[in-house]
Amino acid sequence: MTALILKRIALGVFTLWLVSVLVFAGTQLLPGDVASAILGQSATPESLAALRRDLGLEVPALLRYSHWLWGFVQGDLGQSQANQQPVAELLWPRFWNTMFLAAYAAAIGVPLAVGLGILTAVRRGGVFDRLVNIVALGTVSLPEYFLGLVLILVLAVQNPVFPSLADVYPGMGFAERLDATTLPMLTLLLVTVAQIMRMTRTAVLAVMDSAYVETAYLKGLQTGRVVLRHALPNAAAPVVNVVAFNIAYLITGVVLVEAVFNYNGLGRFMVDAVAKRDLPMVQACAMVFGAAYVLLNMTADIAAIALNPRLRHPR
Amino acid sequence: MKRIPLTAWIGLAIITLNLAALLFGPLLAPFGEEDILGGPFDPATALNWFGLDQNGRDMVSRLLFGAQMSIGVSLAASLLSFSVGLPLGFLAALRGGWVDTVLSRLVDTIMCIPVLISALVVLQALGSSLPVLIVTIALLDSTRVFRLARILGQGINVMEYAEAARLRGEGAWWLIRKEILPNAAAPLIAEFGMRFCFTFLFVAGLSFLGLGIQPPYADWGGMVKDNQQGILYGLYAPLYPAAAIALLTVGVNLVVDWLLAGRTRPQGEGR
Amino acid sequence: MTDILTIRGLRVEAPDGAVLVHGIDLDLKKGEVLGLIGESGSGKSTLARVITGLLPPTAGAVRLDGQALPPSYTARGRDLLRRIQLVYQLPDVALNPRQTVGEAIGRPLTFYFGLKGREQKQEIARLLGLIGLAPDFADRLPGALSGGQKQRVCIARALAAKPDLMICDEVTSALDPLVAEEILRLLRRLQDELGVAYLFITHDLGVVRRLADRTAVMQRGCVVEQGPTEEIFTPPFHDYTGRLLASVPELRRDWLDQVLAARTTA
Repeated sequence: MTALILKRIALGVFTLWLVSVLVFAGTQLLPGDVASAILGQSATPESLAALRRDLGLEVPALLRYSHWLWGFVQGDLGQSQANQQPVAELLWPRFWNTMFLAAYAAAIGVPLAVGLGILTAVRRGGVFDRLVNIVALGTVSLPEYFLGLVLILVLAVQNPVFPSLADVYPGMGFAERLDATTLPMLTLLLVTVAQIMRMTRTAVLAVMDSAYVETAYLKGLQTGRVVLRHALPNAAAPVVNVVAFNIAYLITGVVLVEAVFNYNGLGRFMVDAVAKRDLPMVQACAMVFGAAYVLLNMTADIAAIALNPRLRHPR
Repeated sequence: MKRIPLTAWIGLAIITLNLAALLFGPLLAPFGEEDILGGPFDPATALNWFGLDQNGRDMVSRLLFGAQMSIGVSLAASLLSFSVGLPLGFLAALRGGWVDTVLSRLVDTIMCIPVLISALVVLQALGSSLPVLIVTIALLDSTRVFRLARILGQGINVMEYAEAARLRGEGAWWLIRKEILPNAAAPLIAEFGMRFCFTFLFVAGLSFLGLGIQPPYADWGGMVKDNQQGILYGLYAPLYPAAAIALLTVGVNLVVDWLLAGRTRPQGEGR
Repeated sequence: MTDILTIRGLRVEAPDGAVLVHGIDLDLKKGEVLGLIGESGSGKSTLARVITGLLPPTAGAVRLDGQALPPSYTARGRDLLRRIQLVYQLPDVALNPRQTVGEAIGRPLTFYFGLKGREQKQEIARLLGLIGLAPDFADRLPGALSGGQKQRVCIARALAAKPDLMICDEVTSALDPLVAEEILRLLRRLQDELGVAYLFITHDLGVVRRLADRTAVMQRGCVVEQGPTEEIFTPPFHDYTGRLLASVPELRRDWLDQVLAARTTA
């Protein structure tokens, strides 16, 4: 098993490197002269040449890539074109904001979803099950901004429970921060809980129908014990998979949610960077998002391996 | 046709409604796309069923005009995605060997990065013109279509009837057209529905972020963005285009669910 | 009679090195039925796949009517592929569920002989008659056919190509005994009428006894015995053949009388 895990880690590192190549290729090597795109109408041959030199476009691509990657690994994310500040200074605070939001959503969402999934599986066909299923189907089909706007309308404007715009600033109290971020968290929650819950329900149902669970019941075990000790460990793998998938989804879902709530996170930051065609910022953001995605998937893979009973007790 | 469940009927009705909007939107609209009829966010009246948008234009008319952009772009991207991913996927399944390996590695590589991030990177470099949008989304999405087509193709290719055709001396084109496609039709149609949903939401999302369909073209995502401020005053204005987006998504999902119900085994498996 | 199929020194190794067929020699004369029997894993189906070109051998040669066969089917011309036809064990997956019977039988006619339109329809009707099905079966999908009917269609599809050699790979093993009986009778009749050579692979000894002119017995990748069917099944048996025969349950009503008679004489 250790060998498998090590292989996964190696694959993860390789994928990280691949992501860096793709991000670099995507931003630097695509057709469309960057310099003229930035300068637009006011481009003259001299200003174009000057900008190209500034951007380092004169240097061959491979060299540029190694410089960029080396700098990145050391923490230097380049210089923002728009406001001439180091990207790293701008990026990391916002990154942590986004992580806070994602963690908030995951911390509540995952136990809630898994719990609901188990409950509805155990009480399948009942009113509770059907109700939860319909709501889940609904939220999965609705776009995040729709849900977000509805939440703002209902919980912030019509009934002022939460602030309608998620303003966060450094030095904020923890409770205050939670209050500000609850609405965006709820939006993220609605979509991910639905997906995780449906998958958990399916996985647990599949296991509950198996012969060995039936035997457990026949032995006289109580439902709780059957579910926790006999059914869950075997339903764990697909559940972990979908949890990981959803956490990876959070990476992109958070972009839209941040836009709805004007939340000062990495998602909104990247969107602004793309709108301003700020190459270094976009590169850095893409790298960070991509790396987070790869790391999360890798963790999911490893968790799935670790949870696989056949691999844990090899014969 | 076997009994079609109620949910599927609802879905089909929704899809038909949207198709009508796509084809006849501008003809059905009571007012022009840019006609200013009153003040920002004026409430609903008998003439303006959903009221006016942030610039004083009729919401219903804007929705109808926007349908062409929203649905049209997504449809174009989905069709393009399928026409790229499907043949390549089948080819990889049929030929195997290095063709399969090269294509699969390429697809895996593209799928390393979340779609939104890749799209943002490309849009940053090439701008958000309509052709760029459609082609970028189509190519990114075709990776998923490729994977499905490959799995389906492989599943059918190992069937004896496919082997019998190969033994006859049939070429790849025949095999794809006559042996694989007819037996993969149902899951493929369902997948098309899902891909369309995803593309549709994606385009609307990009427009909502201001990076999708650019003015002067209006689409539902952009309308949500433009009217967003209204929600802070308790106005429903941004909810109308958002609801339109949600409605079509739900409708397609319902039909896809119906198509996929009871089809858990690929064609030919019955041993 | 000349040989339609000649196999010399055929050796097949699996990718992991295991030997599936240990250098065998086999002859099949034109128009005769060669029964190939053996238990599971003896290499019978492997042999069928080698002959059709689905599995290139590691060593050895296969000749069709004196002409050397390229090891892989992809290297064989259309006419060469036409002359060897394979009928599978499971008719359910051997027929494309989305193609009608007419399309399945008609395709070889078009593909090999360029038959189209009315000519093709007539030939399809003739073939359907040959296998004992009414002409209106041409419009049916495999889902509407029984197991026996599907297998008949597979046989018709093979015959449509007018092959020199038909390989029947356990074609009755998946059918219930009555239906299997019908198929065997059909195959016998077709053989008498058309004179196609059969390589009949089966693990059912009774079938081989009835159908095959000559028999080959395979065990673990080797041909342990080969010759006219009567000789093979008349004692003294080869070791393995004896074991195969002994393993077949027999219904003997008078077993007790025999045991008692043996006791009294002892």
